[in-house]
Amino acid sequence: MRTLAEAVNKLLGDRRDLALLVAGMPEPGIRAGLLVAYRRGTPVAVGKFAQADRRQTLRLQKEQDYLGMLWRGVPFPTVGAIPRAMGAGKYGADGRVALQSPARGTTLARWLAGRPRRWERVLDLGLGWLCRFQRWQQGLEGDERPRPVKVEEPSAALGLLAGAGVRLKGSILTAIVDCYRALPEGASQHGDFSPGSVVWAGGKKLWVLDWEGYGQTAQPLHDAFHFCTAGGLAALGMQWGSGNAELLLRLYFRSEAVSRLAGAGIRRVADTVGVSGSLYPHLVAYLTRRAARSLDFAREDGTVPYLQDWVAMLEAVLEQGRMVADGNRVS
Amino acid sequence: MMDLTQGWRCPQCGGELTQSGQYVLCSQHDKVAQAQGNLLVFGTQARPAQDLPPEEMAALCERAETAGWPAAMAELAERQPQVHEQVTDRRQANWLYAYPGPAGGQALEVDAAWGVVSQALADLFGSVYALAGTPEQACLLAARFAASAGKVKVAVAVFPQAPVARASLALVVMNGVLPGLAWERPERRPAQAHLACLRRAHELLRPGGWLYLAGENRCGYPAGADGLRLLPRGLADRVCRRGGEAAGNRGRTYSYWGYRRLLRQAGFARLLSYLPLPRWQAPEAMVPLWRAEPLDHHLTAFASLGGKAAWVRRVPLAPLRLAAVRLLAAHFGIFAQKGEG
Repeated sequence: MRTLAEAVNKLLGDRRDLALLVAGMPEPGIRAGLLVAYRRGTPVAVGKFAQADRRQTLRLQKEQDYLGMLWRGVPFPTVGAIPRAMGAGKYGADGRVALQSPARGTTLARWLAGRPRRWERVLDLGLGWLCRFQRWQQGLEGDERPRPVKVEEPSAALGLLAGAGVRLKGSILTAIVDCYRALPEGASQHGDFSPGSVVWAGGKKLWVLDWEGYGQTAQPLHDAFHFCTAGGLAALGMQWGSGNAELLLRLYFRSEAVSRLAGAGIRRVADTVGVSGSLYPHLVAYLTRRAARSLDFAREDGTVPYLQDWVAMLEAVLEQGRMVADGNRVS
Repeated sequence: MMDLTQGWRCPQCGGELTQSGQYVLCSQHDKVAQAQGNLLVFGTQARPAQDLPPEEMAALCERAETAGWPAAMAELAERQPQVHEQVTDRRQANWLYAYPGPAGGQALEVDAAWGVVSQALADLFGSVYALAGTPEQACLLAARFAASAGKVKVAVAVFPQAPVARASLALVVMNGVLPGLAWERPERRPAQAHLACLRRAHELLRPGGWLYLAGENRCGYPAGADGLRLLPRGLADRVCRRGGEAAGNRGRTYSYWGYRRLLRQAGFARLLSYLPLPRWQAPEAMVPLWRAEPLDHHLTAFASLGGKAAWVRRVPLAPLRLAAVRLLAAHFGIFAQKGEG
């Protein structure tokens, strides 16, 4: 059996001069976190670790696999923008640690927090990267148009929510399924693309982290909506919480500077991935999937942080969508 | 009668122990402990723990003995939800993620309180000695670890009295207990009592073994209500005596350099100092303090040092920021290694 430090040391070649910064273990029930390994003051690896939670350890392994897959393909035009997997190991009785190459800089979320004037720059950086990534993933050059990819079905996400005890009204379920039917072809997605997952060191160079949710058959605009939702709330100076539904409506259905910029940014990504027509079904599909994905973060006592917030947002958007049909802001 | 001496040694000479009736004997030191129920009590007892009033503690103990640990905890959750949260909060052992030594071997926790850290230690070490300050604490610990098949051994003993063999431990944990240990040795000056405890820890560690010491910074900002610790030691003693505390100022804390000096005096060869955030009792981050870069990385990539310490980000140069944090951080967690020789 190994300690966490021993496991990291072994993955990095058994050197004795490592310093470990360990962070992000905020909740009593969650035994997972992040680490940075330094050698003589220089970060040599970033790691994620999880213990006593099979879903969390599986997520670590999935991210390693996805990073390996992404690095095996054609090199991404912005070299170094995706971290390189540096191996995974075990520690303790049931812990797992996975290392990847380190990123230098600050996250866009930290740079944006409480400073709405930076929202435009953050959108430009984040969604600009997303457009380049989507084209790279599909191997597109010049004016080449994107190819169709299979779209995810709603049944999986709705099944997970029902399994977790979330009861949606019949009319809401019908509306969700209708939205999915209206979706055009999909594209690959990062899965958790938010300003908190993007590290920026100035200029145009970005590092995009947190690839556990990567998928190649998914919703075309999931990443764009997630980036705008998470970033928009940060730009408005809001925390995740029970008031999110109202904020989301403010972001996508009202005419404010923050939401105008978000709408323009999403349309930019939509053009890149070849989506035309209403963006409203994409927003509904995104919220359904996020609600289902929040189940991955269930605590030991069975409660799921943010699940009800996501469901409330979904219901509020569907309600608003019915009222304004396709004349709403996101279409 | 069950032999309670298994795994324990004479706290004075490290010799084998034998049980004779209610007494535990050492070939060289005669009676060294008493058997109370299923527990061994070595020497004098510590001041009672403050988490619960004595009568509630006794009732909880009785419940744990008769109905088991889960039933006692269910009752505690109803009556004292805050204490229950403390008893089950595994974040108290988060510092263990930064533990630089190898797994395996034996570990000892001084003043194991509710046993959260001992439980985490049991995941990494072959056997764990949990020393409790009072029989009530020990009784609860014994109930908590009843299912550990003897992996966690519990006894009542106040450090530096520790009934384990010399040079046998891979890790000794002194998690915020150093100031309290001076209260148990009123005949000595606090610094001497602290040094004696650290020397004893050094003696118990095997070559290359580690001590984890967490404690508050004497010059920590904000100092809180206890401005006493910023006073010169002699003056603080006088203020305490005038306030009715006959033993003077026993709850002594040290600065970053004070802790390091004390550990060096005790014989430790290698020291790795960390800043546990937001507090040593339940760290969410362990930031290395022996180089400037990790602290800077933490400030830019992860989080600030908390609202009241946001000024650190405004200190212009990285080495100055590190010096400022070493001087004014509220607390430290220090891993100290015994030399290999």
